[in-house]
Amino acid sequence: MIKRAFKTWFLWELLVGLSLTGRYLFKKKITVEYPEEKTPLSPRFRGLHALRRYESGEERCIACKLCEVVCPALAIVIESEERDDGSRRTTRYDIDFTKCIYCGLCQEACPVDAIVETQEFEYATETREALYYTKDMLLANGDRYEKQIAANLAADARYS
Amino acid sequence: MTTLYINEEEITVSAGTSILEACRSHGVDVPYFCYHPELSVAANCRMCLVEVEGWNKPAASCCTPVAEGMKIHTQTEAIKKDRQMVMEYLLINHPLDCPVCDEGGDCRLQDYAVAHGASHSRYVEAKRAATNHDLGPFVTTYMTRCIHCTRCVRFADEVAGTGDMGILNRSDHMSIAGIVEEACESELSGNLADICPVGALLDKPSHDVSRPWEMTHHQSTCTQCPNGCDINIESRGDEVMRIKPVEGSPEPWLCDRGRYVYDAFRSDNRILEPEVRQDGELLQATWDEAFDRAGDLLRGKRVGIIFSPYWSAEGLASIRLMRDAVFPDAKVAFDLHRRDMRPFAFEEGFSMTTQQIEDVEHVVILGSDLRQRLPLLMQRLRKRGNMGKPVSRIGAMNYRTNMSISSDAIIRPRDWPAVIARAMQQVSDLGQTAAGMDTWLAAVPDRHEAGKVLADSLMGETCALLVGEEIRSHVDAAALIHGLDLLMRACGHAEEGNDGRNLIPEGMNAQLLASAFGDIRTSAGDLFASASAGELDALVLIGSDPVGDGLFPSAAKAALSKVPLIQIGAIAGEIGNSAEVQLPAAAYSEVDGTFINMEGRIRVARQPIRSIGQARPLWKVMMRLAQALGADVPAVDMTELRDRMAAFAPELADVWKDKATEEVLVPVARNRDAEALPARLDSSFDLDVVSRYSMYREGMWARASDLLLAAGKLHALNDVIMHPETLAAKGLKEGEHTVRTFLGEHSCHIGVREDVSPGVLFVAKRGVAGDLSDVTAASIVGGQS
Amino acid sequence: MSALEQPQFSEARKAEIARLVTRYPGAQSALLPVLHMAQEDFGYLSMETQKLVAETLGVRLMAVREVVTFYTMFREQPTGQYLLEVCTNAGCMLNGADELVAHMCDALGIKVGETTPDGMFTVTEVECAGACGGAPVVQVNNVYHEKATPASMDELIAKARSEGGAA
Repeated sequence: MIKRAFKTWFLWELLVGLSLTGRYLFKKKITVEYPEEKTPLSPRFRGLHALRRYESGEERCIACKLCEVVCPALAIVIESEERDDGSRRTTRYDIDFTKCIYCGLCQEACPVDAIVETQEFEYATETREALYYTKDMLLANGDRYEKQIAANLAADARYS
Repeated sequence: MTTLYINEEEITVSAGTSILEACRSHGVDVPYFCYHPELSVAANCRMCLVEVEGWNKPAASCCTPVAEGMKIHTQTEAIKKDRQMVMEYLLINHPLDCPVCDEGGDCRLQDYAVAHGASHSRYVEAKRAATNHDLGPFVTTYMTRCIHCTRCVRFADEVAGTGDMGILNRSDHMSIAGIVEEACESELSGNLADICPVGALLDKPSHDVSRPWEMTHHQSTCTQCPNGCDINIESRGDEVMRIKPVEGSPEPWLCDRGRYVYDAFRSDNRILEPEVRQDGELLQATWDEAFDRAGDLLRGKRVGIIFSPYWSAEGLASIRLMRDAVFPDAKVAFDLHRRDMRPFAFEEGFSMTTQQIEDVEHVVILGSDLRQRLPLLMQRLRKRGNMGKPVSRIGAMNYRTNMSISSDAIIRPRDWPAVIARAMQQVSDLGQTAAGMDTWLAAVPDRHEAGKVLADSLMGETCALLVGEEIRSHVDAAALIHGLDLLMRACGHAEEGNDGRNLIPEGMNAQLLASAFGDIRTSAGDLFASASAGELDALVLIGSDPVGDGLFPSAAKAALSKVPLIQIGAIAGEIGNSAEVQLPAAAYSEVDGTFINMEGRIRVARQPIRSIGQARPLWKVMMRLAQALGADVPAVDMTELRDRMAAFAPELADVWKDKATEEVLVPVARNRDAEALPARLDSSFDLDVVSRYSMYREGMWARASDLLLAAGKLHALNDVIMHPETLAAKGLKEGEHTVRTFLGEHSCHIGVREDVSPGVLFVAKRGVAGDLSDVTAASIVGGQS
Repeated sequence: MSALEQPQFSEARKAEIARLVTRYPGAQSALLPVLHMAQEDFGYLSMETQKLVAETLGVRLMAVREVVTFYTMFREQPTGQYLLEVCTNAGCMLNGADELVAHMCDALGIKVGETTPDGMFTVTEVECAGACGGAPVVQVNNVYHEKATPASMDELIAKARSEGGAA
């Protein structure tokens, strides 16, 4: 009876609750302050797509269209032709990111590691049209993120 | 018959069948590369190994005939191991470039590597590479991918008849090579890409553009020649990527013309919107505006209608219905190659199927460049030749056939009566005659020795007569055909079940055209003449190009300068420049229609590709035109139209309703009373003019196709050629000369060639040689010698 | 005997070929012996010679080309007056055929398969000549020289040179 009165009068439950709060208040924080801070990403993170080039500057994509056919969301559109030097190249390589579900099957299907998903995820736009990426935009992504992509591929190489 | 067991299952096949064929016909899967049902057996890929009980080695099933009681196993562990080893061997030098190879996804080697191969290669040595060849405008080569199955070599040898491919060197240095590399001079070259089981020979025009899995397939009928092959149109979206033959159809191959004409479906020359001429310029208009204008030009006028036979049967019937509804007095013309409009004893169309022509005792080709005209029929004759069966020929030129002709004669067109008379003489000397033959014979004073070739061929039990355009477009064609009819009757080749009278038609649907338009047809030349003479007020042209094609270009030009032209069609052609109104109609690939080929075979296309622009099926345009001209619309939908059509060809109804249990053939018209005696021909000109049909440039579709035009350049002869002796007899040499005809004088370059009959001026490029196409006789005046 | 621009078989040859053809079921079967004759007559099988053989037997040029390129004993290039064919198969190799080839090439200043600039000698390696008992074997214009040594070859070459090419 006294015990109960004591707990009631001295707001014991509240103190128990606040002590938990207090413990966390002084613990090491796990939230990050995005965008100033960012969480680390796995090398397998599937973000914005990019088309890569070889060191010589030659684009890797050989227009085999395997990514196009494997894409479950039908987000990729490719058109190809025989380039003047006789090699098979795309004339059009579009990805519609409003359709893309970031499953990563395209990079899995690619026999030449041309289409890859980078760790980039901050590409929000104001219009839907801007999410329709053309070949030039994807190649530019590749040029921009090449270092990161190569590092990720290297990190993941032993598991693939 | 032989009874044997395949995987414990008892089957019966005819004796002499190979094990592989027995397996194929009973749905047992045996992998193979070098075997092809239409080619000879080479047995060099070793993929088709099977186990035969009691044999201590596996047997190559493609070259092992079945035997009574044979027990065959196709799926034992040992055979699986063997196949794995064969695959490993075949893949030794094969590059791992499937992602860039057009065959990828539709490749036997790829499929079998997955199904029968080992999952990895033990081969670490350097791979062999090979140089590529130039095999003409339609085939691109990647010889490193070749597995030396020799299908292409056998194809060139046995089917194309060119024999210019072979295998050089041996073992690791083995390579496929051609002697004449620049041009695989075959009208069937496109098939090379189809028969190659790997990606060594590929289709050039669609190279690196599409993938097999992107294709939508549309079964249709090719209307590029009267053969009317079944085609499989492969499209990516609405764009046609390839046309391929249909497996299991009567013709296993497809000619280059039928295959590569798809280029024209999207050419600049297509009519895509209704257009109306304003201030001398064709401008886009709405359908209503165009019909208003057409109404102004046509209402209550005297009208001539010219159309092309390449429309579907529904389209053709709708032309007749439209004509009956609004222009009940109008004459129509659809044949640009016929000068003589009297009824023929046997009308255009075949009384035999091509298979029967392959099988008969004797075949005679009369006046036709069959290799260009009907490449696939020529291929069947070549197959005959390979089996040692005779094919003889009479014509104005030794047209190239890529086979050995058993007896051959070259003649001038004016000698045809004498040739037929000579044959009649020989036949009647042997006691065979027909009523009316003596009268015919008496009308011809001369005899020409070439007739012996004809008469000799008629002596057998069965004979197929293939009558070509040299006779069909002859000024006295009815008499010649009557003469041939008498000959065939005398020799017993005109009876039911053994009818060898085949007249090669101008285009598709010949049987329907004869029954639907027989009473109102006239010659295109006459129609143009009456337009020029002011007897007509307007011309309606439905899909043909009398300026670019046929025998009346100058008459057509003269007529068009007098009367306005309403053009309805898919391709504008050369004549498009003169049209007042143009209305777009859908191409043959874009309609679900019925087509009848020269044998009378009926085909219904049911899944067309979507038509581009504002093009509509012809029957809709016709009905709308009838409405615009104030008539009741004769048929508002396809069912009604087809009901009306039953009057023209009752056979069609069964096919539409799927009632026909076996192949229905529409019979060819016969006119027993079409008697015509040969007339003395005017011979104020000493040379006969023969113009040649070229598969690469005849017809507005072919001319709208850049692919075919480019190929035609490779195969081109000089514009006008003559026998060197004929030219020499006039004291002239090869070069520029002036040719006089009834139309006046023209200057042209005359080349020489031994293959042309003496006394013939041979126009190798119809159309290019201008007004020479219009005439049948000419002479040369002066020129520098 | 150098190949003519338009090679022609002699009348005697033509008669011989005609006789030969009758021995086989078809003219194509006589292709091998006729090619050997042509090579004997014209020294090597130029494209013109192959065309001649194709025409003579009525077979396709490609069929002739296939046979000519298949067999190594048919030559499509002219050789020197003396064709030195050294066997380098196992028996001869063990008895110094490789050294012999190297020596001959050095002595003549050419590589295997080449002809001396004066058109006198061609050295080639061949597969087993069937005379292993006398290894190493060098076949000089169809005549076997068994147990050949560098010295004997030098002698042969010198002798041939002094004869001034009268084979």
